[in-house]
Amino acid sequence: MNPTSVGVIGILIMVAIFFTKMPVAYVMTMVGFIGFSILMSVDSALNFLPSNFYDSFISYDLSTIPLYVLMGQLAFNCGISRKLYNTGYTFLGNTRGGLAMATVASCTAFGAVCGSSPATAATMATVGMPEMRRFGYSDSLAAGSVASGGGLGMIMPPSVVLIIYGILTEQSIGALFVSGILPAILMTFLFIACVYITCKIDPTKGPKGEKFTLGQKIKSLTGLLDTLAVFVLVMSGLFFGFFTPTESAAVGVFGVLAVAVIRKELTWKAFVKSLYETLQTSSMILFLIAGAVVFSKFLAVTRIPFEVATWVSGFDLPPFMILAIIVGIYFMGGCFMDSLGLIMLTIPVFYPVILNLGYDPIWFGVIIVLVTEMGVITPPVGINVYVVYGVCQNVVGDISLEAIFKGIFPFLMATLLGIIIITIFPQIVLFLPNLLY
Amino acid sequence: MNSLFSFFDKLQDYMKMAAAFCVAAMATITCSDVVLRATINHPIFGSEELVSVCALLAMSFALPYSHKKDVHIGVEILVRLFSKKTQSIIKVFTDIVSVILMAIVSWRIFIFAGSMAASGELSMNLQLPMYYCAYILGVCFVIFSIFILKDIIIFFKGAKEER
Repeated sequence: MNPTSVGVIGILIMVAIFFTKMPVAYVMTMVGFIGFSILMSVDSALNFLPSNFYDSFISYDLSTIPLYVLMGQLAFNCGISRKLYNTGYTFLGNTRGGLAMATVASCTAFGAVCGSSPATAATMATVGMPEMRRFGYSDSLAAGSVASGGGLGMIMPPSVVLIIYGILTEQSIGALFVSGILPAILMTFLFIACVYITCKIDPTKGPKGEKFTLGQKIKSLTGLLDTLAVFVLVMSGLFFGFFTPTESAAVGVFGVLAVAVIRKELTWKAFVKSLYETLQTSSMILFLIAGAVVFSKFLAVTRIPFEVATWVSGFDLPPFMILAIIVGIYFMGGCFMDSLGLIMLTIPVFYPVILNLGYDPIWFGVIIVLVTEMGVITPPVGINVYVVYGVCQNVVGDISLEAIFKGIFPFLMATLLGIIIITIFPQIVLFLPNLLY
Repeated sequence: MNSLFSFFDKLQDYMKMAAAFCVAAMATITCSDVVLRATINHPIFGSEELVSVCALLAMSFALPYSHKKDVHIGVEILVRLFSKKTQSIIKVFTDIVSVILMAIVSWRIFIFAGSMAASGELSMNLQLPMYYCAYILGVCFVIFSIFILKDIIIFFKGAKEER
């Protein structure tokens, strides 16, 4: 049997084992290890297995991940998210659907200090859902805006998905971060437009909220200043070459801590909770990376990535059609698998194809994040939907999963529109990296 | 058996605290390095190595805790359609496969650490003997495997009591 056939069988077996709920990281390690043993030798597979875990855990580049996760956890546990929401609420609350718009805007702002989509969704569900319930918003619009808005946290730098994409493809993490800013703003406007249109069609879905004076609005801006200060500190250092990504993350951690101490919102309990939650998320991500490295070594010896790249390049189709097929595969994969697992599994296969077609790798990174953003809200997996559902049970009581899934549909269309716009106008992604790098 | 389980639970708690300390240390060392470099042009020598070691220790010590918290993502879509009993049977099978895999990883990490020790491998700047880190990783993987094994034992004990 040739290596490619072994690779295809390995992939099929791996997908089958995924459905047993065995952790994705373990499955990738196991299939990668067995496949490599078959194609090379058991001895060589046994030899590379420990070094993968050791190298992944001790990597200075990957130490960025726990630090950015800690920064987001501290921002959440020290109440920065609530202030962001209050600012959005004061400015937009009085318009129809304004609270949902405020939620979306707050999600983007919170994404500036938190690199995780489920964390952003959970945070904004905690602060936004009770308010939207109070003003009689429909469950579908309220929960849909929180779950979808959470996805914006993935595009707005710092983004864990972009860090991992950068490490896997050896692209500059700074350039990837800066490339995410304009698409994040574009997506925020598209989501706000989505809320506006939904409330225009059915005004009962998002009634007007409280009215605030100009003085109150100006005063509420202080809530935004904290986040803005940390974001500018972290990103400016990274963009102007003062910090490495790991250093920018550590500076961000202390930036958030400083804000929390000045505002007297830091408690020992919140600090320890943030550390423990950071351990959970980071451990999951780094184990996944180690598993993906084992699997990608197996894939490399099967020559599947090169075969796929050659095969796809041979299609008599325009590059954008091939891109559409790849996006479709990511979208379908995202319905069943977690975004990080999917990216680690597929990037070794599709990245050479994208390079062959002449697309910019930085631009493709943003497209990947947007597509996986669709994955986190689409059934049946849709992790953000389950996160919001779980939080809602605690903060506002009963809400149906169907209502949330119904609510995300307009935002899904907005994301698709965003992907089309960015494909037609790649300058939206590439303008800032070209300017700064 | 129960006293053994409670010993490992206690150990997992201490490991979790050590891991949290290492994460805090990573942030502190890196930030201090940036501040000292920017203010007095005197960065911490070997800070990258210290951060890398802290990262390895944090992730190693967090292995049992992450297993206890069930943080590793899996695809639930098919399994949740089955009855609770079928789900537990599938889980015990995947746990058995996982424990075998992690036992192999642990064994190989010890061999890897041994070869590092034999070659006298030291870190580039601080000349730290890195094989200690590899041994710690190996020990943590062993404890992690024991936690998966514990789930399997609990399953079979439960099944026996039901009979």
